[in-house]
Amino acid sequence: MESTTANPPEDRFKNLVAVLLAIVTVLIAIVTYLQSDAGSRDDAANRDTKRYTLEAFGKQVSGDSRVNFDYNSAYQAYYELDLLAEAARNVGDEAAAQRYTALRDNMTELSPMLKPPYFDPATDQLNVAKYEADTYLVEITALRERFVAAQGVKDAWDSKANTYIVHLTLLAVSLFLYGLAVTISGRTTRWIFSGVGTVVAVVATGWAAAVFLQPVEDLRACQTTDGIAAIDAYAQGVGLAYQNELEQGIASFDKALACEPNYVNALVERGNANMARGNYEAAIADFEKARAAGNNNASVAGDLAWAYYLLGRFDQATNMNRQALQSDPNELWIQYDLGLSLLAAGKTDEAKTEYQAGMDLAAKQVAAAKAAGQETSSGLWWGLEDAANGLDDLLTVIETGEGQPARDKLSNPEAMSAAATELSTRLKSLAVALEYTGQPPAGTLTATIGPFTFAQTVLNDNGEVVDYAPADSFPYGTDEVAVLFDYEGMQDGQEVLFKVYVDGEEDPSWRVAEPWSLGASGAAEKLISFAYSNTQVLRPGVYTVELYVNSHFAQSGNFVVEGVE
Amino acid sequence: MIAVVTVIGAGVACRAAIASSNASDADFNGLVAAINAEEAAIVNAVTTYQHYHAYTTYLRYNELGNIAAEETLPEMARLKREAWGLALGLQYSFFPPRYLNPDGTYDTQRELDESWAEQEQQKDLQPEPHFAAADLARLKTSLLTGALIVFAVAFWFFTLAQAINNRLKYLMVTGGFGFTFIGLFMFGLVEALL
Repeated sequence: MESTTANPPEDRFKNLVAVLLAIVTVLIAIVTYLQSDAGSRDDAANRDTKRYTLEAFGKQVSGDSRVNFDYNSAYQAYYELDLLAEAARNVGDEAAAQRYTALRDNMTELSPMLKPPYFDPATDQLNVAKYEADTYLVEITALRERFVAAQGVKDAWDSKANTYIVHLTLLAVSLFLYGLAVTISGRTTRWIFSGVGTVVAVVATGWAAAVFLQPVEDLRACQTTDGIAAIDAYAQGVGLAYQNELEQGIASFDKALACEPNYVNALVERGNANMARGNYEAAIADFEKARAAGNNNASVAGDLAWAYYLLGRFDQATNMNRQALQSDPNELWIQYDLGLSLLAAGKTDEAKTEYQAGMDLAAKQVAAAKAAGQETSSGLWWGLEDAANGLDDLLTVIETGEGQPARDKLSNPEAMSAAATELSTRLKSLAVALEYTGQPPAGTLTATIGPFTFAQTVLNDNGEVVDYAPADSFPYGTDEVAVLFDYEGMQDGQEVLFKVYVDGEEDPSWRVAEPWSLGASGAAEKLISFAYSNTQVLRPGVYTVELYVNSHFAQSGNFVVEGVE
Repeated sequence: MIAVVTVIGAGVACRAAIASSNASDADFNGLVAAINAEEAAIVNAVTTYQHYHAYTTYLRYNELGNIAAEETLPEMARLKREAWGLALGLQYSFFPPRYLNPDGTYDTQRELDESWAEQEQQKDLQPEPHFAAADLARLKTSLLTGALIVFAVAFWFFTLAQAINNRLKYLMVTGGFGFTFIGLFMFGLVEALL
């Protein structure tokens, strides 16, 4: 038998390096395979993201188109004919009423939305939210979630593929060092080169193995115990929450979360559903988990801060609002929530500073939009209104003890009450001034508007108003309420604005902006009336009427229209 | 043999690269088809529901005419004529009457399906076959790259055979040939099947 030891040391070294070169070549082939596989999966996931986006977009537009027809054509036809039937019945024309009713009933064939389970002809209750959810909302929600999941998978495989390229580069370096080692005559130097080459190859191989063992999680593959995909369970939850079926929605989110406990969107939506149910502790737990799982969205942080505020955890609310504003300093509603949490904590001066910062920001945003010839985002008006509502709700808690946060959690309610009233007035005035003039309100209010009195008009046989019957509450069926007030210090030509809110939300159809023409002082009347129609009445709810003079909040008052007994 | 294995490996790598390129092309074609499909679905839905909207107005007038026809009052005769006249006008100008069913209802599904079929004759609306082809090409790439490992092992055996001077080198040569043939078989099988 021949022995390899018979070879001179030079040959032995070259043979050893040749074997090492061959081993590294095998390793390169393996890592190339892994890189190619990761690249393929990256491409496939990338393609899926585009596909899901396209499908979601298409189904959104088609679904919207369908629902728009169902509501704005089919249901509108039904509704119009129903009103005509009612109007005919109200004037005693029963024959016409029957004709319209027959015609109306024929319209129910036009759309599945006008049939159970979406429509109950006995009560005229239409569940558009359920129809939207069933028609396209759940489907596009699932597609969007699949898009997000595919994006995550794409990123993970992309990262792996790129890292394998680094490994291949290191292995190439190793080959280069081996090549150099066989060309160098110095014994020590060639051993150093081959040794370093080996170390580089070992490091690259170990690193590649670690990357290979790193799992890539795909939410799309996660199945609930019912056998449906976690994403579909989530989408169903979103659809149910959209219909205000909060408990069922939460049950669906639970299923999705049982499959993937760190499913961030499911945590956020379950948190929102818990907030809507008034279960603030559970909402906080969900939002906190969502943030711990990687959600840094300002909106989620703002919602979490709001939940803290409602439970009287004002310091946590303040901190969370500040964190949210770090993510997005332009979110006005969070800025105002920060002021509110400071106010509730008894830090009145700090609260005023934050509210002022928010008002300055709003004015700046409006000015910037005007300068660019654009309209301001509707969110700005919503933010200002929401801020004033938050202060009004706090005042209600202080005055009545009803609502959240609990009154016993508030520090120094008396001082708080004065500051809240002042800030609410300023916010309301700012909103009106920015909307109508693009500038913060100028000057101060010089007129005095007396408290509002609400009354039903008393008519004579000729339909003329002969008296008023004051009340704070009016029965269902009321079609006209008069707002009576005294005034002093007014000037003709001043811009006067009436706004009417029903259950805290403005009904813009009642908004009236007009120049004042009733002289400096006296008594005035403003009618909230459907009396011109023989079918419409004021819908039940708490009505708030506000009056502004030259954009300055001047007076407000409330009345109630009772529900059907 | 080392040189032969290297050349074969280069050839297999070339085929793997071509398969990868084919996968990208198929993905692109699939996405184009998906865009076409969504565009067709959107346009068809918007058009059909515009027609259905006109049909709704038609139905109101038609039914109003029907109800008026059942009445004996003289003013109803005029109402009947006006209502049916309007319905007829709408039918000719604002929606295709051929989708009216014999019972007077409007077949939106038929209109949507016919429009889809029409579009399908003009454009590729089926992304699925392209995506399936892309997945297949990716599998081919993966398998061919896997075959490269086999050739690399063969290369290793041949290199070892060259470095060894005892009879063990024949075993190494045999191993080298064995892996070369396995690699070639894999390559042939993949090319034949995919």
